[in-house]
Amino acid sequence: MPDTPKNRREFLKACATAGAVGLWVTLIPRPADAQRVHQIDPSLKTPDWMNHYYAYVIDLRKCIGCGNCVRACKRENKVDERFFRTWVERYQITDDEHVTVDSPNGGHDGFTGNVAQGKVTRAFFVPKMCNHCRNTPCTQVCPVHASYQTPEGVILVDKKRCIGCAYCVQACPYGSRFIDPRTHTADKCTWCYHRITKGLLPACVTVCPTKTRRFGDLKDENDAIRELVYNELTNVLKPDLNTEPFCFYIGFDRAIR
Amino acid sequence: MNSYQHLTRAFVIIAVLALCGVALRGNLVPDTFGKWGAYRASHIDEERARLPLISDDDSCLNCHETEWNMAGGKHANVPCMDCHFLDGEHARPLQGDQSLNEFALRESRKNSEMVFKNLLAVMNQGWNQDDIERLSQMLSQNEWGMRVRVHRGEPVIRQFGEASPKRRAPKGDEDIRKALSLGEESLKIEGEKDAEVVRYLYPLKVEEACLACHTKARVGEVNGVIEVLYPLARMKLKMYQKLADMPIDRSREACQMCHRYLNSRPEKHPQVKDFDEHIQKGWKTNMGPVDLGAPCLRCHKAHIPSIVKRRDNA
Repeated sequence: MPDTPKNRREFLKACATAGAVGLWVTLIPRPADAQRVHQIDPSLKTPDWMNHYYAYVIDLRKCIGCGNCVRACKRENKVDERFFRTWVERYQITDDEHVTVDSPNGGHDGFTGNVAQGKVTRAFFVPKMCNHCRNTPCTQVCPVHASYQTPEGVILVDKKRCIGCAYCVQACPYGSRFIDPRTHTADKCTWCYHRITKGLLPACVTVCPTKTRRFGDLKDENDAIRELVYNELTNVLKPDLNTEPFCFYIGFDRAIR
Repeated sequence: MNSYQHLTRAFVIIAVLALCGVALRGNLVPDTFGKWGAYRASHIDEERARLPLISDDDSCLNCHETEWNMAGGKHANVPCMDCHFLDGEHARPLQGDQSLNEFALRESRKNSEMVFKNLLAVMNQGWNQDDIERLSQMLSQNEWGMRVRVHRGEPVIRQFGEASPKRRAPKGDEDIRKALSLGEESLKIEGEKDAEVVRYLYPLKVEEACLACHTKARVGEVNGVIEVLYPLARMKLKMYQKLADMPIDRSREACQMCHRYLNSRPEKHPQVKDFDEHIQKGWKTNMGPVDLGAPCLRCHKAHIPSIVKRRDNA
Protein backbone atom coordinates (compact mmCIF):
# COMPACT_ATOMS: atom_id res chain seq x y z
CA MET A 1 0.00 0.00 0.00
CA PRO A 2 1.35 3.41 -0.92
CA ASP A 3 -0.01 5.12 2.23
CA THR A 4 1.73 2.82 4.66
CA PRO A 5 4.33 4.86 6.61
CA LYS A 6 7.86 3.74 5.87
CA ASN A 7 9.56 4.99 8.97
CA ARG A 8 8.89 6.39 12.41
CA ARG A 9 8.90 10.05 11.32
CA GLU A 10 6.24 9.48 8.70
CA PHE A 11 4.20 7.34 11.06
CA LEU A 12 4.19 10.09 13.73
CA LYS A 13 3.32 12.70 11.09
CA ALA A 14 0.37 10.61 9.90
CA CYS A 15 -0.80 10.12 13.48
CA ALA A 16 -0.64 13.86 14.22
CA THR A 17 -2.56 14.72 11.05
CA ALA A 18 -5.21 12.13 11.75
CA GLY A 19 -5.54 13.37 15.33
CA ALA A 20 -5.89 17.02 14.28
CA VAL A 21 -8.47 16.17 11.62
CA GLY A 22 -10.36 13.99 14.08
CA LEU A 23 -10.50 16.81 16.63
CA TRP A 24 -12.00 19.17 14.11
CA VAL A 25 -14.52 16.62 12.94
CA THR A 26 -15.85 16.31 16.50
CA LEU A 27 -16.52 20.06 16.48
CA ILE A 28 -19.22 19.69 13.82
CA PRO A 29 -22.49 20.06 15.75
CA ARG A 30 -24.47 16.84 15.90
CA PRO A 31 -28.26 17.05 15.51
CA ALA A 32 -28.70 15.13 18.78
CA ASP A 33 -26.85 17.85 20.71
CA ALA A 34 -28.94 20.63 19.28
CA GLN A 35 -32.10 18.72 20.15
CA ARG A 36 -31.00 18.12 23.71
CA VAL A 37 -30.74 21.83 24.41
CA HIS A 38 -34.15 22.67 22.97
CA GLN A 39 -36.08 19.81 24.54
CA ILE A 40 -36.46 21.83 27.70
CA ASP A 41 -39.57 23.95 28.12
CA PRO A 42 -38.86 27.21 26.27
CA SER A 43 -40.79 29.22 28.85
CA LEU A 44 -38.10 28.34 31.38
CA LYS A 45 -35.40 29.82 29.18
CA THR A 46 -35.45 33.34 30.55
CA PRO A 47 -34.94 33.33 34.29
CA ASP A 48 -36.15 36.56 35.90
CA TRP A 49 -33.58 36.11 38.59
CA MET A 50 -32.51 39.70 38.91
CA ASN A 51 -35.81 40.40 40.70
CA HIS A 52 -35.19 37.86 43.45
CA TYR A 53 -32.82 37.32 46.32
CA TYR A 54 -33.88 34.54 48.59
CA ALA A 55 -33.41 34.19 52.33
CA TYR A 56 -34.22 31.48 54.83
CA VAL A 57 -35.16 32.04 58.46
CA ILE A 58 -35.19 29.36 61.16
CA ASP A 59 -36.93 30.24 64.41
CA LEU A 60 -35.28 27.93 66.94
CA ARG A 61 -37.83 28.79 69.64
CA LYS A 62 -40.52 27.02 67.61
CA CYS A 63 -38.81 23.81 66.47
CA ILE A 64 -40.26 20.69 68.08
CA GLY A 65 -37.94 18.23 66.34
CA CYS A 66 -40.65 16.29 64.55
CA GLY A 67 -38.41 15.56 61.56
CA ASN A 68 -41.08 16.26 58.96
CA CYS A 69 -38.65 18.52 57.10
CA VAL A 70 -36.00 15.81 56.93
CA ARG A 71 -38.47 13.26 55.60
CA ALA A 72 -39.98 15.70 53.12
CA CYS A 73 -36.54 16.66 51.80
CA LYS A 74 -35.59 13.03 51.31
CA ARG A 75 -38.75 12.37 49.33
CA GLU A 76 -38.70 15.54 47.32
CA ASN A 77 -35.07 15.31 46.27
CA LYS A 78 -34.62 11.53 46.39
CA VAL A 79 -31.63 11.92 48.68
CA ASP A 80 -29.54 8.84 49.43
CA GLU A 81 -30.69 7.29 52.71
CA ARG A 82 -27.23 7.54 54.27
CA PHE A 83 -26.93 11.31 53.74
CA PHE A 84 -28.95 14.43 54.43
CA ARG A 85 -29.50 17.70 52.63
CA THR A 86 -31.11 19.01 55.78
CA TRP A 87 -30.97 17.54 59.25
CA VAL A 88 -32.02 18.38 62.79
CA GLU A 89 -29.62 18.43 65.74
CA ARG A 90 -30.68 18.24 69.37
CA TYR A 91 -28.70 20.29 71.87
CA GLN A 92 -28.89 19.39 75.53
CA ILE A 93 -26.96 21.58 77.95
CA THR A 94 -26.48 20.55 81.55
CA ASP A 95 -26.07 22.84 84.56
CA ASP A 96 -22.27 22.62 84.29
CA GLU A 97 -22.53 23.99 80.71
CA HIS A 98 -21.63 20.66 79.17
CA VAL A 99 -23.12 20.50 75.67
CA THR A 100 -24.39 17.23 74.23
CA VAL A 101 -25.40 17.20 70.59
CA ASP A 102 -27.09 14.28 68.88
CA SER A 103 -28.88 13.75 65.62
CA PRO A 104 -30.02 10.11 65.30
CA ASN A 105 -30.48 9.41 61.60
CA GLY A 106 -30.45 13.16 61.01
CA GLY A 107 -33.68 13.53 62.97
CA HIS A 108 -35.45 11.53 60.24
CA ASP A 109 -37.27 9.34 62.77
CA GLY A 110 -37.69 11.93 65.48
CA PHE A 111 -35.94 11.97 68.84
CA THR A 112 -36.42 9.74 71.86
CA GLY A 113 -35.02 9.70 75.38
CA ASN A 114 -32.29 11.82 76.92
CA VAL A 115 -28.69 11.53 75.87
CA ALA A 116 -27.17 14.11 78.21
CA GLN A 117 -25.66 13.06 81.55
CA GLY A 118 -26.77 15.18 84.48
CA LYS A 119 -29.38 17.84 84.95
CA VAL A 120 -30.41 19.37 81.63
CA THR A 121 -31.05 23.10 81.94
CA ARG A 122 -31.48 24.02 78.29
CA ALA A 123 -32.57 21.84 75.40
CA PHE A 124 -33.53 22.81 71.89
CA PHE A 125 -33.46 21.63 68.30
CA VAL A 126 -31.35 23.18 65.56
CA PRO A 127 -32.35 22.41 61.97
CA LYS A 128 -29.33 22.69 59.70
CA MET A 129 -28.84 22.79 55.97
CA CYS A 130 -26.87 24.61 53.30
CA ASN A 131 -26.61 28.23 54.41
CA HIS A 132 -26.41 29.55 50.84
CA CYS A 133 -23.62 31.96 51.68
CA ARG A 134 -23.11 35.05 49.61
CA ASN A 135 -19.35 34.65 49.97
CA THR A 136 -19.19 30.95 49.22
CA PRO A 137 -16.13 28.88 50.05
CA CYS A 138 -17.48 25.84 48.22
CA THR A 139 -17.94 27.35 44.74
CA GLN A 140 -14.56 29.03 44.93
CA VAL A 141 -12.68 25.75 45.20
CA CYS A 142 -14.54 23.88 42.45
CA PRO A 143 -11.97 23.10 39.74
CA VAL A 144 -14.54 22.49 36.96
CA HIS A 145 -17.15 25.17 37.78
CA ALA A 146 -19.73 22.52 38.55
CA SER A 147 -20.74 24.37 41.69
CA TYR A 148 -21.95 27.90 41.22
CA GLN A 149 -24.16 30.63 42.58
CA THR A 150 -27.17 31.98 40.69
CA PRO A 151 -27.96 35.70 40.92
CA GLU A 152 -30.83 34.78 43.25
CA GLY A 153 -28.33 33.61 45.83
CA VAL A 154 -28.90 29.88 45.37
CA ILE A 155 -25.90 27.57 45.23
CA LEU A 156 -26.35 24.72 42.77
CA VAL A 157 -24.29 21.71 41.73
CA ASP A 158 -24.21 20.65 38.10
CA LYS A 159 -24.06 16.88 38.46
CA LYS A 160 -23.12 16.32 34.84
CA ARG A 161 -20.07 18.52 35.27
CA CYS A 162 -19.01 17.46 38.77
CA ILE A 163 -16.03 15.14 38.90
CA GLY A 164 -16.55 14.15 42.53
CA CYS A 165 -13.22 15.50 43.81
CA ALA A 166 -14.89 16.51 47.10
CA TYR A 167 -12.95 19.76 47.49
CA CYS A 168 -16.25 21.52 48.13
CA VAL A 169 -17.19 18.98 50.79
CA GLN A 170 -14.01 19.92 52.63
CA ALA A 171 -14.42 23.63 51.98
CA CYS A 172 -17.95 23.92 53.39
CA PRO A 173 -17.64 24.97 57.05
CA TYR A 174 -21.20 23.81 57.79
CA GLY A 175 -20.85 20.22 56.61
CA SER A 176 -23.85 20.59 54.34
CA ARG A 177 -22.29 18.92 51.31
CA PHE A 178 -21.69 15.26 50.68
CA ILE A 179 -20.68 12.96 47.88
CA ASP A 180 -23.72 11.06 46.67
CA PRO A 181 -22.60 7.41 46.68
CA ARG A 182 -24.93 6.58 43.78
CA THR A 183 -23.60 9.15 41.32
CA HIS A 184 -20.21 9.91 42.94
CA THR A 185 -20.91 13.64 42.61
CA ALA A 186 -21.38 16.37 45.16
CA ASP A 187 -24.91 16.93 46.42
CA LYS A 188 -26.44 19.57 48.63
CA CYS A 189 -29.56 21.53 49.48
CA THR A 190 -30.76 23.69 46.58
CA TRP A 191 -33.55 25.43 48.54
CA CYS A 192 -35.67 23.27 46.20
CA TYR A 193 -34.74 25.46 43.24
CA HIS A 194 -37.27 23.62 41.03
CA ARG A 195 -40.03 24.56 43.47
CA ILE A 196 -39.15 28.15 44.32
CA THR A 197 -38.82 29.09 40.66
CA LYS A 198 -42.40 27.84 40.19
CA GLY A 199 -43.67 29.98 43.07
CA LEU A 200 -43.80 27.14 45.61
CA LEU A 201 -41.96 26.99 48.90
CA PRO A 202 -39.13 24.53 49.53
CA ALA A 203 -40.40 21.11 50.64
CA CYS A 204 -39.09 21.50 54.20
CA VAL A 205 -40.86 24.85 54.64
CA THR A 206 -44.07 23.45 53.15
CA VAL A 207 -44.38 20.67 55.71
CA CYS A 208 -43.16 22.50 58.83
CA PRO A 209 -46.10 22.33 61.27
CA THR A 210 -44.90 25.11 63.58
CA LYS A 211 -43.59 27.55 60.97
CA THR A 212 -40.10 27.20 62.34
CA ARG A 213 -38.75 27.28 58.84
CA ARG A 214 -39.57 30.33 56.78
CA PHE A 215 -38.49 31.15 53.26
CA GLY A 216 -38.95 34.22 51.14
CA ASP A 217 -37.70 36.75 48.67
CA LEU A 218 -35.86 39.75 50.08
CA LYS A 219 -36.49 41.77 46.93
CA ASP A 220 -40.26 41.33 47.22
CA GLU A 221 -41.54 44.20 49.36
CA ASN A 222 -44.65 42.32 50.48
CA ASP A 223 -42.80 39.22 51.60
CA ALA A 224 -42.99 38.52 55.34
CA ILE A 225 -39.39 37.34 55.32
CA ARG A 226 -38.17 40.96 55.08
CA GLU A 227 -39.82 41.73 58.40
CA LEU A 228 -37.98 38.82 60.01
CA VAL A 229 -34.58 39.39 58.46
CA TYR A 230 -34.46 43.15 58.93
CA ASN A 231 -36.34 43.62 62.21
CA GLU A 232 -35.77 40.47 64.27
CA LEU A 233 -32.63 39.74 66.26
CA THR A 234 -31.02 37.10 64.08
CA ASN A 235 -27.75 35.30 64.02
CA VAL A 236 -25.94 33.13 61.51
CA LEU A 237 -23.78 30.06 61.97
CA LYS A 238 -20.05 30.78 62.24
CA PRO A 239 -20.22 34.53 61.50
CA ASP A 240 -16.47 34.80 62.11
CA LEU A 241 -15.76 33.02 58.82
CA ASN A 242 -17.27 35.91 56.80
CA THR A 243 -19.15 33.55 54.55
CA GLU A 244 -22.25 35.81 54.78
CA PRO A 245 -24.89 33.08 55.05
CA PHE A 246 -28.45 33.86 54.00
CA CYS A 247 -29.87 31.34 56.41
CA PHE A 248 -30.76 33.29 59.54
CA TYR A 249 -31.51 31.89 62.99
CA ILE A 250 -33.86 33.49 65.51
CA GLY A 251 -33.55 32.48 69.16
CA PHE A 252 -29.91 31.55 68.77
CA ASP A 253 -28.07 30.03 71.71
CA ARG A 254 -24.42 30.57 72.55
CA ALA A 255 -23.84 26.82 72.62
CA ILE A 256 -24.72 26.33 68.94
CA ARG A 257 -21.77 25.43 66.75
CA MET B 1 14.62 32.66 1.06
CA ASN B 2 16.32 29.83 2.86
CA SER B 3 17.30 32.15 5.67
CA TYR B 4 13.57 32.44 6.71
CA GLN B 5 12.89 28.72 6.70
CA HIS B 6 13.36 28.33 10.48
CA LEU B 7 10.82 31.13 11.07
CA THR B 8 8.13 29.73 8.78
CA ARG B 9 8.56 26.30 10.28
CA ALA B 10 8.12 27.70 13.81
CA PHE B 11 5.10 29.70 12.66
CA VAL B 12 3.43 26.66 11.10
CA ILE B 13 4.02 24.56 14.19
CA ILE B 14 2.60 27.29 16.46
CA ALA B 15 -0.41 27.76 14.16
CA VAL B 16 -1.14 24.02 14.09
CA LEU B 17 -0.83 23.78 17.87
CA ALA B 18 -3.11 26.80 18.33
CA LEU B 19 -5.73 25.30 16.02
CA CYS B 20 -5.53 22.02 17.89
CA GLY B 21 -5.91 23.95 21.13
CA VAL B 22 -9.05 25.65 19.82
CA ALA B 23 -10.46 22.31 18.69
CA LEU B 24 -9.64 20.72 22.03
CA ARG B 25 -11.31 23.55 23.93
CA GLY B 26 -14.40 23.31 21.72
CA ASN B 27 -14.66 19.67 22.66
CA LEU B 28 -14.16 20.04 26.37
CA VAL B 29 -16.24 23.14 27.10
CA PRO B 30 -20.00 22.44 27.12
CA ASP B 31 -22.26 24.33 24.69
CA THR B 32 -23.94 26.72 27.08
CA PHE B 33 -20.96 27.23 29.37
CA GLY B 34 -20.36 30.91 30.08
CA LYS B 35 -23.69 32.16 28.79
CA TRP B 36 -24.62 33.60 32.18
CA GLY B 37 -21.51 32.93 34.20
CA ALA B 38 -18.73 30.42 34.73
CA TYR B 39 -21.07 27.44 34.64
CA ARG B 40 -23.21 25.39 32.25
CA ALA B 41 -26.28 27.56 31.66
CA SER B 42 -28.47 24.66 30.55
CA HIS B 43 -28.12 23.16 34.03
CA ILE B 44 -30.33 25.99 35.31
CA ASP B 45 -33.04 24.88 32.88
CA GLU B 46 -32.62 21.24 33.83
CA GLU B 47 -32.96 22.12 37.50
CA ARG B 48 -36.01 24.31 36.86
CA ALA B 49 -37.69 21.65 34.73
CA ARG B 50 -37.85 19.15 37.61
CA LEU B 51 -41.38 18.44 38.84
CA PRO B 52 -42.20 19.12 42.48
CA LEU B 53 -43.27 16.11 44.50
CA ILE B 54 -44.44 17.33 47.91
CA SER B 55 -47.81 19.06 47.64
CA ASP B 56 -48.44 22.32 49.35
CA ASP B 57 -51.81 22.93 50.94
CA ASP B 58 -53.06 24.90 47.97
CA SER B 59 -52.76 21.88 45.71
CA CYS B 60 -54.72 19.79 48.23
CA LEU B 61 -57.42 22.46 48.17
CA ASN B 62 -57.79 22.04 44.42
CA CYS B 63 -59.61 18.75 44.85
CA HIS B 64 -60.29 18.32 48.56
CA GLU B 65 -62.29 21.44 49.22
CA THR B 66 -64.73 19.67 51.55
CA GLU B 67 -62.00 18.29 53.76
CA TRP B 68 -60.25 21.63 53.67
CA ASN B 69 -63.26 23.37 55.17
CA MET B 70 -63.52 20.74 57.87
CA ALA B 71 -59.93 20.83 58.97
CA GLY B 72 -59.94 22.86 62.11
CA GLY B 73 -59.13 22.92 65.76
CA LYS B 74 -55.56 22.71 66.91
CA HIS B 75 -54.46 21.12 63.65
CA ALA B 76 -55.84 23.89 61.47
CA ASN B 77 -52.41 25.23 60.64
CA VAL B 78 -50.64 21.91 60.30
CA PRO B 79 -49.87 21.24 56.64
CA CYS B 80 -51.86 18.37 55.13
CA MET B 81 -48.74 16.52 54.09
CA ASP B 82 -47.53 16.11 57.67
CA CYS B 83 -50.06 13.37 58.36
CA HIS B 84 -51.13 12.44 54.83
CA PHE B 85 -47.73 11.50 53.58
CA LEU B 86 -49.01 10.52 50.18
CA ASP B 87 -47.35 8.67 47.38
CA GLY B 88 -45.66 10.79 44.80
CA GLU B 89 -48.14 9.90 42.10
CA HIS B 90 -51.08 11.19 44.06
CA ALA B 91 -49.35 14.30 45.22
CA ARG B 92 -48.36 15.93 41.97
CA PRO B 93 -48.90 19.60 42.65
CA LEU B 94 -49.50 22.13 39.89
CA GLN B 95 -51.79 19.70 38.15
CA GLY B 96 -54.72 19.95 40.52
CA ASP B 97 -57.41 18.64 38.22
CA GLN B 98 -55.34 15.88 36.79
CA SER B 99 -56.06 13.30 39.45
CA LEU B 100 -59.80 13.85 39.04
CA ASN B 101 -59.40 13.66 35.28
CA GLU B 102 -57.52 10.40 35.53
CA PHE B 103 -60.08 8.98 37.89
CA ALA B 104 -62.96 10.08 35.63
CA LEU B 105 -61.23 8.61 32.60
CA ARG B 106 -60.68 5.27 34.30
CA GLU B 107 -64.20 5.16 35.66
CA SER B 108 -65.84 6.15 32.34
CA ARG B 109 -63.73 3.72 30.38
CA LYS B 110 -64.81 0.95 32.74
CA ASN B 111 -68.48 1.89 32.29
CA SER B 112 -68.14 2.01 28.51
CA GLU B 113 -66.54 -1.40 28.41
CA MET B 114 -69.38 -2.74 30.51
CA VAL B 115 -71.89 -1.21 28.09
CA PHE B 116 -70.07 -2.75 25.14
CA LYS B 117 -70.04 -6.19 26.77
CA ASN B 118 -73.78 -5.89 27.32
CA LEU B 119 -74.24 -4.82 23.72
CA LEU B 120 -72.19 -7.75 22.52
CA ALA B 121 -74.43 -10.13 24.44
CA VAL B 122 -77.58 -8.76 22.82
CA MET B 123 -75.90 -8.43 19.42
CA ASN B 124 -75.42 -12.18 19.17
CA GLN B 125 -79.16 -12.73 19.64
CA GLY B 126 -80.13 -10.06 17.17
CA TRP B 127 -81.36 -6.83 18.63
CA ASN B 128 -82.90 -3.51 17.86
CA GLN B 129 -82.45 0.02 19.08
CA ASP B 130 -84.99 -0.37 21.84
CA ASP B 131 -82.65 -2.85 23.48
CA ILE B 132 -80.01 -0.15 23.78
CA GLU B 133 -82.61 2.22 25.16
CA ARG B 134 -83.54 -0.33 27.81
CA LEU B 135 -79.88 -0.99 28.64
CA SER B 136 -79.25 2.71 29.03
CA GLN B 137 -82.21 3.03 31.40
CA MET B 138 -81.04 0.05 33.39
CA LEU B 139 -77.59 1.51 33.79
CA SER B 140 -79.01 4.87 34.79
CA GLN B 141 -80.94 3.19 37.57
CA ASN B 142 -77.89 1.33 38.70
CA GLU B 143 -75.56 4.31 38.56
CA TRP B 144 -77.63 7.33 39.42
CA GLY B 145 -77.32 10.12 36.91
CA MET B 146 -75.39 8.14 34.30
CA ARG B 147 -76.69 8.39 30.75
CA VAL B 148 -75.54 6.22 27.86
CA ARG B 149 -75.98 6.81 24.16
CA VAL B 150 -74.65 4.78 21.25
CA HIS B 151 -73.90 6.42 17.91
CA ARG B 152 -73.56 4.51 14.66
CA GLY B 153 -70.37 4.67 12.65
CA GLU B 154 -69.83 4.65 8.91
CA PRO B 155 -69.49 0.84 8.45
CA VAL B 156 -72.71 0.12 10.40
CA ILE B 157 -74.63 2.75 8.44
CA ARG B 158 -73.36 1.17 5.23
CA GLN B 159 -74.69 -2.23 6.27
CA PHE B 160 -77.80 -1.51 8.34
CA GLY B 161 -78.74 2.06 7.42
CA GLU B 162 -79.05 5.23 9.47
CA ALA B 163 -80.40 5.24 13.00
CA SER B 164 -83.87 6.67 13.56
CA PRO B 165 -83.73 10.47 13.52
CA LYS B 166 -84.43 10.98 17.22
CA ARG B 167 -81.46 8.79 18.17
CA ARG B 168 -79.02 10.35 15.74
CA ALA B 169 -76.24 12.51 17.14
CA PRO B 170 -76.73 16.25 16.58
CA LYS B 171 -75.19 17.28 13.25
CA GLY B 172 -72.73 19.83 14.57
CA ASP B 173 -71.25 17.66 17.32
CA GLU B 174 -67.57 18.04 16.65
CA ASP B 175 -66.43 15.58 19.35
CA ILE B 176 -68.56 12.72 18.07
CA ARG B 177 -67.50 13.41 14.49
CA LYS B 178 -63.86 13.29 15.62
CA ALA B 179 -64.35 10.08 17.60
CA LEU B 180 -66.06 8.45 14.61
CA SER B 181 -63.50 9.52 12.06
CA LEU B 182 -60.27 9.28 14.07
CA GLY B 183 -61.21 6.66 16.66
CA GLU B 184 -59.92 8.74 19.58
CA GLU B 185 -61.47 8.56 23.01
CA SER B 186 -62.19 11.87 24.67
CA LEU B 187 -63.10 13.17 28.10
CA LYS B 188 -64.62 16.59 28.65
CA ILE B 189 -66.33 18.44 31.45
CA GLU B 190 -69.34 20.30 30.06
CA GLY B 191 -72.35 22.20 31.31
CA GLU B 192 -73.03 25.11 33.60
CA LYS B 193 -71.45 25.72 36.97
CA ASP B 194 -72.65 23.34 39.70
CA ALA B 195 -74.34 21.15 37.08
CA GLU B 196 -71.30 20.01 35.16
CA VAL B 197 -71.31 16.71 33.37
CA VAL B 198 -68.37 14.49 32.54
CA ARG B 199 -68.76 13.46 28.92
CA TYR B 200 -66.78 10.49 27.73
CA LEU B 201 -66.66 9.08 24.21
CA TYR B 202 -65.53 5.51 23.69
CA PRO B 203 -64.90 4.56 20.04
CA LEU B 204 -65.55 0.95 19.07
CA LYS B 205 -62.80 -0.03 16.69
CA VAL B 206 -63.37 -2.93 14.33
CA GLU B 207 -61.40 -6.05 15.16
CA GLU B 208 -61.20 -9.44 13.45
CA ALA B 209 -63.99 -10.86 15.61
CA CYS B 210 -66.44 -8.17 14.49
CA LEU B 211 -66.09 -9.06 10.82
CA ALA B 212 -68.17 -12.23 11.20
CA CYS B 213 -71.36 -10.16 11.33
CA HIS B 214 -70.19 -6.68 10.24
CA THR B 215 -69.37 -7.86 6.75
CA LYS B 216 -69.00 -4.39 5.27
CA ALA B 217 -66.54 -3.17 7.90
CA ARG B 218 -62.76 -3.22 7.70
CA VAL B 219 -60.33 -3.76 10.59
CA GLY B 220 -59.34 -0.43 12.13
CA GLU B 221 -62.52 1.42 11.15
CA VAL B 222 -64.83 2.79 13.82
CA ASN B 223 -68.13 0.91 14.09
CA GLY B 224 -69.64 3.36 16.52
CA VAL B 225 -69.16 5.47 19.61
CA ILE B 226 -70.46 4.88 23.12
CA GLU B 227 -71.21 8.15 24.86
CA VAL B 228 -71.32 8.13 28.65
CA LEU B 229 -72.53 11.18 30.57
CA TYR B 230 -71.97 11.36 34.30
CA PRO B 231 -72.59 14.25 36.74
CA LEU B 232 -69.30 15.78 37.87
CA ALA B 233 -70.43 16.08 41.48
CA ARG B 234 -71.16 12.35 41.62
CA MET B 235 -67.81 11.62 40.02
CA LYS B 236 -66.06 13.66 42.71
CA LEU B 237 -67.99 11.91 45.46
CA LYS B 238 -67.04 8.56 43.99
CA MET B 239 -63.41 9.58 44.02
CA TYR B 240 -63.62 10.62 47.67
CA GLN B 241 -65.12 7.25 48.50
CA LYS B 242 -62.27 5.54 46.70
CA LEU B 243 -59.91 7.53 48.87
CA ALA B 244 -61.65 6.39 52.03
CA ASP B 245 -58.59 4.33 52.75
CA MET B 246 -56.58 7.54 52.81
CA PRO B 247 -52.90 6.82 52.75
CA ILE B 248 -52.54 8.37 56.19
CA ASP B 249 -49.69 6.92 58.18
CA ARG B 250 -51.78 4.40 60.08
CA SER B 251 -49.82 4.21 63.24
CA ARG B 252 -49.40 6.17 66.37
CA GLU B 253 -45.97 7.12 65.11
CA ALA B 254 -47.57 9.62 62.77
CA CYS B 255 -48.92 11.49 65.80
CA GLN B 256 -45.87 10.85 67.90
CA MET B 257 -43.57 12.55 65.43
CA CYS B 258 -44.79 15.84 66.81
CA HIS B 259 -46.26 14.67 70.12
CA ARG B 260 -43.17 12.72 70.99
CA TYR B 261 -43.26 13.06 74.78
CA LEU B 262 -46.28 10.81 75.14
CA ASN B 263 -44.24 8.12 76.83
CA SER B 264 -41.82 10.28 78.74
CA ARG B 265 -44.43 12.67 80.13
CA PRO B 266 -47.03 10.53 81.91
CA GLU B 267 -48.38 13.52 83.82
CA LYS B 268 -49.74 14.82 80.52
CA HIS B 269 -51.62 11.58 79.88
CA PRO B 270 -52.70 10.31 83.31
CA GLN B 271 -55.16 7.89 81.77
CA VAL B 272 -52.46 6.39 79.52
CA LYS B 273 -50.07 4.72 81.96
CA ASP B 274 -48.40 2.37 79.58
CA PHE B 275 -48.89 3.28 75.98
CA ASP B 276 -48.37 -0.20 74.56
CA GLU B 277 -50.72 -1.74 77.10
CA HIS B 278 -53.19 0.99 76.29
CA ILE B 279 -53.15 0.03 72.65
CA GLN B 280 -53.45 -3.70 73.26
CA LYS B 281 -56.29 -3.45 75.75
CA GLY B 282 -58.29 -1.03 73.70
CA TRP B 283 -59.84 2.24 74.71
CA LYS B 284 -63.10 4.05 74.85
CA THR B 285 -64.89 3.57 71.57
CA ASN B 286 -67.37 6.36 71.93
CA MET B 287 -66.98 7.15 68.27
CA GLY B 288 -69.08 4.32 66.98
CA PRO B 289 -67.89 1.89 64.36
CA VAL B 290 -65.23 4.24 63.01
CA ASP B 291 -61.93 2.46 62.71
CA LEU B 292 -59.17 4.51 61.21
CA GLY B 293 -56.30 2.33 62.26
CA ALA B 294 -54.40 5.12 63.96
CA PRO B 295 -54.82 4.55 67.71
CA CYS B 296 -54.49 8.21 68.72
CA LEU B 297 -57.29 9.21 66.40
CA ARG B 298 -59.79 7.06 68.23
CA CYS B 299 -59.87 9.41 71.18
CA HIS B 300 -58.36 12.53 69.73
CA LYS B 301 -60.38 13.83 66.83
CA ALA B 302 -58.37 15.08 63.96
CA HIS B 303 -60.56 16.40 61.17
CA ILE B 304 -61.04 12.95 59.69
CA PRO B 305 -64.02 11.50 61.65
CA SER B 306 -66.29 14.28 60.48
CA ILE B 307 -65.58 13.33 56.88
CA VAL B 308 -66.62 9.76 57.48
CA LYS B 309 -69.81 11.02 59.07
CA ARG B 310 -70.55 13.23 56.11
CA ARG B 311 -70.03 10.40 53.69
CA ASP B 312 -72.42 8.15 55.58
CA ASN B 313 -75.11 10.78 55.35
CA ALA B 314 -74.65 11.33 51.65
